Amino acid sequence: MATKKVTKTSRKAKKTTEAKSSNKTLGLLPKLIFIFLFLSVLGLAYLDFHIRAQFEGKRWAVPAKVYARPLELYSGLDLSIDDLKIELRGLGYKFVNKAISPGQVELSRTRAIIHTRGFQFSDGSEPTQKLMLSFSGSKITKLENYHGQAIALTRLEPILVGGIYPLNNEDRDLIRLEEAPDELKQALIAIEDKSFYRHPGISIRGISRAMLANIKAGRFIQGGSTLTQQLIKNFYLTADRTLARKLLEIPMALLLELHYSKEEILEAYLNEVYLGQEGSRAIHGFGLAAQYYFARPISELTLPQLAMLAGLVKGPSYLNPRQHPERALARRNLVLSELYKQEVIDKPTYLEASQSKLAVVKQASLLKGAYPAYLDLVKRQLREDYDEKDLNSEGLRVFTNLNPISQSKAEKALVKTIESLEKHYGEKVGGLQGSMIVTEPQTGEVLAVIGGRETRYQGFNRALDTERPIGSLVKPAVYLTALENGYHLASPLDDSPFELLMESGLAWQPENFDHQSHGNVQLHYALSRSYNLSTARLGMVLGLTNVIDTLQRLGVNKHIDPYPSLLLGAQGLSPLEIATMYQTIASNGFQMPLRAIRLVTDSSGQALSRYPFQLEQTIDGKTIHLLQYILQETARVGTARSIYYSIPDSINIAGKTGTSDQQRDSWFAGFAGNRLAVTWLGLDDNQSLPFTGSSGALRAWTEYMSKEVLTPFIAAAPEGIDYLWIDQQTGLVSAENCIGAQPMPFIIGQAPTEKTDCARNNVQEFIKPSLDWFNRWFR
Amino acid sequence: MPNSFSFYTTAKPFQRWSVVGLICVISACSTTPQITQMPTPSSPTIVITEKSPEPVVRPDPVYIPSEPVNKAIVPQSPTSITQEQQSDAVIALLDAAEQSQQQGDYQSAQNTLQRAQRIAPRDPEVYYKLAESHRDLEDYKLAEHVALKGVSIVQGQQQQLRRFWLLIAQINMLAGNDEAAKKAQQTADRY
Repeated sequence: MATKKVTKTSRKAKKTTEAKSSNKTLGLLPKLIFIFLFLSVLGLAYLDFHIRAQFEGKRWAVPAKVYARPLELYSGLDLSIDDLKIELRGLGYKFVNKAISPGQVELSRTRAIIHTRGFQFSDGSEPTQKLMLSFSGSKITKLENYHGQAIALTRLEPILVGGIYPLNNEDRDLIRLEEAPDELKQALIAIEDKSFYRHPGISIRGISRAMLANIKAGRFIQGGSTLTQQLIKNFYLTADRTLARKLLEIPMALLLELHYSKEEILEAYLNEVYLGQEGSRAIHGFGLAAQYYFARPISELTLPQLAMLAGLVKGPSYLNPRQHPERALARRNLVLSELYKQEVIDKPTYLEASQSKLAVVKQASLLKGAYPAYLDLVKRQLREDYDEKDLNSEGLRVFTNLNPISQSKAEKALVKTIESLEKHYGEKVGGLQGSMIVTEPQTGEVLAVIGGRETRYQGFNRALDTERPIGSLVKPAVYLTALENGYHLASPLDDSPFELLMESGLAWQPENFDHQSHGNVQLHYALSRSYNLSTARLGMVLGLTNVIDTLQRLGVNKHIDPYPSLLLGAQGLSPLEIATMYQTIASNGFQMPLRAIRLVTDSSGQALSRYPFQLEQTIDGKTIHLLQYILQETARVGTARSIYYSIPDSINIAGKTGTSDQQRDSWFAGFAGNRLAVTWLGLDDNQSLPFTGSSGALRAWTEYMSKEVLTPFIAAAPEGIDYLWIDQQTGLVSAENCIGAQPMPFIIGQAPTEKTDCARNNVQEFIKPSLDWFNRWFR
Repeated sequence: MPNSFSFYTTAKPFQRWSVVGLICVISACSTTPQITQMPTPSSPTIVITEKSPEPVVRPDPVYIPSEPVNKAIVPQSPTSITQEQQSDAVIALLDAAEQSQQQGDYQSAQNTLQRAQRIAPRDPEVYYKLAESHRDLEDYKLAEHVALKGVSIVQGQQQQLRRFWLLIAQINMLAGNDEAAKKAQQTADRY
């Protein structure tokens, strides 16, 4: 009872309060309306400011575009038709019987007619033109334009190989409205917003229809959006389907239309709209979608292709043409039929277009994102000079040295070798991994990087981040140190066993691979056969710090501890560091930074930073010449002699095998005249391999090199070098006509003087290095 | 050949060789030639123990007159190199670089020269002009090294060598390295 009373009393009280407050409310109403209006105006003004600021300022964060090197074309270029095909496929050229428009190519066995697209480079533009190329073997013998006039030099457009995306992973390729084919605009308007050119931003009819549908369904299912509203939604608002958002959308759409023309709005729409997803990368805008689905620029797409893209807007994942081709096809044909109904296209065109195949390219054939390991190197080099934000939003253009032809060959060679080794060795090498770096030895440009056997996998980059023991790849540094300190190629070395007692009480007892001692051996022989005992002894005599100094002058830029095991390659280095080291050897003692990037420009093509050819001579050319001799001997008769099973004799090659302790790593580093490559094979869990550097990494290296058009490595003898005939048995000075003599280079004043009896009794001993061929090289 | 090495925790009993071995290694007497500058072993406490030295007996080679008896393992003069003349592409680029240089646009000249370098990485003219462009940009150190790279690829060509060494002399003079300039000039004069 008591409770009831209380309730009654409180009800009364409430009524009185309500009555009072309603009187107050009546008085407040005009004020409230005024405040509401004021706030609305303020809100609108704010919205207006917001809309305009975004629309006119930087509309999109445009990721940096990363390009491969452009293919230079000229008469005399070593390029096979097959190589050209790799490049043109990467560019999305259409192989046709008659090339009539940009992006098309005609190929025969000895000729190619390419209708190029043209490209605006920072140092000038390459026009779109029809090129005629004649081939003989793996060489371009003639380059002409379509009027038969010889062209000295031209370059194809560079392949876009990647981007540097912001955190939301939005990728887009901006296009201007005039670049968008009319059919695309027509198809888009026909299917998404028929009254686009007539409505003020919103379509009353569309909204009423949508509201009706919503009421019927009892919940919010349709928006009745115009293109303008869709743009607002994507551009300024979140993706939630709420009424509040919808209510905000309407004034914003009206405001947008108030300030901007239909053309401006349509252009923004074309670039903003979401059209697909590749992993974490979101595909935005029709410019990028054209590349993503058809691997061609939007201007080259056909009517049915454009109709498909326009159809995709409704639901890029539901209609994904790669996963649900039947849905995408039905949707495309719906777009086409709308175009026909609205009399944009005639009946024959409609029928033909709706009969055609989707012709979406396989995701695997897209080159954008195909080279994650190379891109990784590019990003690291870029981050030294640029902020992350500039890279993912300013639309920078990054021109790299990536050579898609070399990269493709290297990938094939590495994967093929790994698969064949797995087949041969079975379980023991399950999950075998590998990495590779290819450079141009004279310029230091990085042409290809492979970070693992899954070449497209954006994961652990073994070419840059593994630091595995380098085994005998270190030996050239030991021998260089010796050659700089008065040793010569025929110096006798002791290859007998020894034991080294260290401070720690441990004893180091190196062994040769064949567990044999080879007694007294000549210096060149010990290196080309990769003997451990003689190398370790030599290194200890020279001093570890001196060997480390040599490694650093070869370009190894890190702290190295002076442990004796260093001499046999216990130090871990990455394939990239090895490439730097061997690059110095290949380029006659000039150390060069390995460069992945040529140039960075802003979005308008203005150069921001260049990465010029740089070098510094850190090792004397004469000493390097002696080492180069041994590394050639290694390839001819030493541990890498299997090279010449598949590479012609005429191609001079220098290189070194490497196998780490317990056979955990298989390495090869070597170079011809125009290519340097480092290969590594091993297991991620660091288990022993059933093969060595010779029988593993060298195979991948040779497989790759044999597919390249190689020039021989030319070891020009610098001044101060003389060649002598040396008896191979004793290392004494011999003569040309004494059996078992070999011509070998020596630094003048440091050559052996003692002669064999044969040489003493006979004549000529010095030979001048023949420069005849060398002069012919330049004529 | 790959290496394989292992650690042992106890020293092996070849004591009498250890002294010989140590002396041998330190003095480099028996198995190594004279070292111009004797480096000091980095870790003096390391003791090397000799194991089984073997005497080697080798016969003296036989002389065979008239015919060549030895095929060089490492070819000195590759036989299959085709005559490489400056291609039209390189000539066009060198001309363009020349023009840029004359207009004082060294940056653009360098770009063009690097394009030429990619096509003909062994063309001395590319390095000569590239060195000049770095000189004009007052990057003397790089200019000198680019010119030295040029020297390394014109071995045996007297006129070219003289030209490159004169350039190096000039670069050093501009850089204020009178001593180096004088030396380079002397080298140039030898050709």
